[in-house]
Amino acid sequence: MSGMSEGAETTELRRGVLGPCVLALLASRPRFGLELVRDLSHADGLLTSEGTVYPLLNRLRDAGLVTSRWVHDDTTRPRRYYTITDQGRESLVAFRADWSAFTAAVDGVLAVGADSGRSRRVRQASGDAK
Amino acid sequence: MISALDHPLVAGYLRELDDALAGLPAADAAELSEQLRAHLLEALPPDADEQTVTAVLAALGPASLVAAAAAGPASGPDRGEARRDPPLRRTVTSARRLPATVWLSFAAVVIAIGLPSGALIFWHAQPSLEFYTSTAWWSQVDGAHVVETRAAGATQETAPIRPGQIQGFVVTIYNPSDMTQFITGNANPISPGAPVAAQISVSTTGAVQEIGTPHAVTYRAGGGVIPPHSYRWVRVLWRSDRCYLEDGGSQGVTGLLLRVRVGWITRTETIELPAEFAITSTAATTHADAAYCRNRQPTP
Repeated sequence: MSGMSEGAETTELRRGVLGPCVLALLASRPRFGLELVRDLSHADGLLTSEGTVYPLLNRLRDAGLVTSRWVHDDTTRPRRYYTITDQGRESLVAFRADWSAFTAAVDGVLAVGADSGRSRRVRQASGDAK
Repeated sequence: MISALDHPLVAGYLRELDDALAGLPAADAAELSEQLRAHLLEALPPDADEQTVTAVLAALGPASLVAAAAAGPASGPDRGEARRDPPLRRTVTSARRLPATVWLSFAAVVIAIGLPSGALIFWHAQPSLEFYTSTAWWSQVDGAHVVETRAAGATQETAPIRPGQIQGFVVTIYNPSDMTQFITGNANPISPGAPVAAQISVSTTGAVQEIGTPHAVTYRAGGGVIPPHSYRWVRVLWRSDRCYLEDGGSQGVTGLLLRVRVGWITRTETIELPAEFAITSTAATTHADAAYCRNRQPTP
């Protein structure tokens, strides 16, 4: 892939899957901002800038996949909790199915590439030995 | 009560953030700013040390990156431009974020520059004085000896030179502007009958008691005012020089060059005359003063 650095590829991939990952976390239970960010950060390499999660949350809300509401608790400061909507759950289910097929297809192609690369190295090594 | 947001590093980050978000719709920018402030309040204890603050801010990412993420996905061809406000609204949004002191300073500069500039433009834009209906030779002697000639659509009124005598003419001048114009003098260095500037006087009233007899009004020597949308008699006089014109020579004026003050500016205005006022010499005047003029050579 000429003209696209390895870092840019990873960034694009990460950006593409971050939304479904947020939906997946919210599907288990509502979370407030910092909590959601921390949980995403636990997934190694998924989140490079915590601040970018908030624009993403706002876009998911604008798309109707997430709602937010303020919760006032006597013991903690007021927090804005994010909750997945039914539309968000449907979107997540659809993504999971697509993702499985997608990763299987990509894994298959990458495996073929890896095999051919290994064969070429073997042939080259054989030629060098002659 | 001190909060984590008061930490200098946090405050600096939030300022950068607000600047970076200036291009977003105001509601989006406000919401994102509030979310990140809440994040920082949750992540940082009020007494957080510098190392902790630095780590939290680093994890949050540069303010510009957050703003770029809010503007839209960078992978798209428009890089989020569709989500951004139109340029005019972005400018207005940015302007609203400026402190009041900046606006006051800006207003002071605008007033300091704008008012004088506006006044200058206004004064310069005022229309010039113009000729208004009547002319007459000042002296009845000249009036009686004037020869009027017409050629190629132009009219010339020629009077014989009367060496050493006061000669001249009067015209009515109209001020079409909305401001009083003050005639301060003559901008023409010579007059038809002498190599000196003619004296300019302005009537104190606009009364025309009898057309062609301007002597009925009072003049103010050295200039005078013409109120807006009014007219005044302007008198142009000189003492004719007997050595100025050779035998058969003549000189005239087709326009008055006047120095006129409008507001605080003084400009030169040219008033086109309906006829050329000219002075001519005759052999008699030339011969009579030949000896005198020889002594005065060279004549300018």
